[in-house]
Parts: sequence; structure tokens; C-alpha cells
Amino acid sequence: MSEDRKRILDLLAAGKITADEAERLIAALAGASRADEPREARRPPKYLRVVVDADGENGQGRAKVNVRVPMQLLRAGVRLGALIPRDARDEVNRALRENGIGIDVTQIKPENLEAILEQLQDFSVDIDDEHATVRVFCE
Amino acid sequence: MIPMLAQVRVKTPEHDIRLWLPLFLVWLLLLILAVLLSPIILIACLIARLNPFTTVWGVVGVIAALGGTHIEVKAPDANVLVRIA
Repeated sequence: MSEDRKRILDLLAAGKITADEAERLIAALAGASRADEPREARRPPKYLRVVVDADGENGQGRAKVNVRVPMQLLRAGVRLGALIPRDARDEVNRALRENGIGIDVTQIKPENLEAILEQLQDFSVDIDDEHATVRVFCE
Repeated sequence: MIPMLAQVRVKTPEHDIRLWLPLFLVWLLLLILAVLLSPIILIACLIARLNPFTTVWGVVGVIAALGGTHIEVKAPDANVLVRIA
């Protein structure tokens, strides 16, 4: 336990601050410590990884797929996607809506993508099935 | 940076094919082709109401971003590996 956190708990134990105040202080402390983390640790991920380990066709052996896609390619793709004519994008939107996906591709812009990519560090999808294991994560 | 080398490996019970493709030669050929086809590209961009410079820059961006791509498929009867560096 850090010295600051211990001091807050001591203040709470001594009745000098309320539980709400202590919670706010601890949250602020956690935020400050995240901000102090080295820049390296918070760097946006460089690759999107997809790892699949599944039963082969007709149950013969195992099939493994390991894909690593650079995030830079995602950025370039979005920039290129911005060149798609508006009519075509509306068509894509309509097709997505028909398949139950409410994403407006006209709103996917490079500046929006950066914000998403920054948050992708903690992104991870794990699917465990009796026949297959799928992992999607960023690194 | 534009990727310069691609490694392709296809392994089956009968064959084991390994290819190292010098992409810089492919880019050179593509560059020559792009210069030759530039009037057609320009006309196509104008018809599609696209900025030709933005379009070409976008395509170059995708090519440049390919570095680091790694695709590996291992199946009981065949293994395929594609790596771009």
C-alpha cells in the first residue's frame, strides 16, 4: 500500500474525513498514479492480433491461425475509406443496418480512429468453445 | 516505411515452397505502371470526383502500412505463412 493511500485511510479511521471523501481522494490518487506511468506503458498498441485454434475439418487434427495486422494499416484504410463516394457509403450504411449493425461509416474518420486506437491497449476478446479458441487482442 | 521484402511459405505433404519476394522491385514496376497509366488514373479520379493526389497518397499509405503484417495458417494438410517486412 502506498504512503498516500495509507494516510487517507488513517484520516478516515480517525474520523477526519468521510468515506465519500476518502473514496474521492483514493480515486484521484489512482488517476494521478496512472498519469505518472511512463509514456512507454501507455503507448497505443502497434498490432491487432487474431489467434484461432480450432478442430480441423472432419475432426482431423487441429487448425491454427495467427494473424498480425499493423494498426498503421487500419489508419491508412480509414484514410482511404474517406475517399469512398458518399453514395457508396450510404449504400454500405444501409447494408449494415439491414444486418443489424448500426454503425455509420461516414462517421469513421482518422481523428475519431486515433481516440479508439489509444483505448485499444486493454482490448481483448476471448472465445473458448469445445471446438475452437479465438483470441483477438492488441499488442 | 514501405515494406521491402515478403516471405511466403506453403507447406503441404508433397511440397515445401519458400519464396522471398523483393518487394522493392514490385514497387518499382508498379511505379512505372502508375506513371504510364497516370492519364487514366487522373480521368478516373475526375469522373469519380476524387482528388487524384489524395487518392494516390491514400494508396501509398496503405502500401507503406503493410510492413509487419503476418499471416500464418497451420492446418493438418497444409501450412501457409505470409510475412511482410
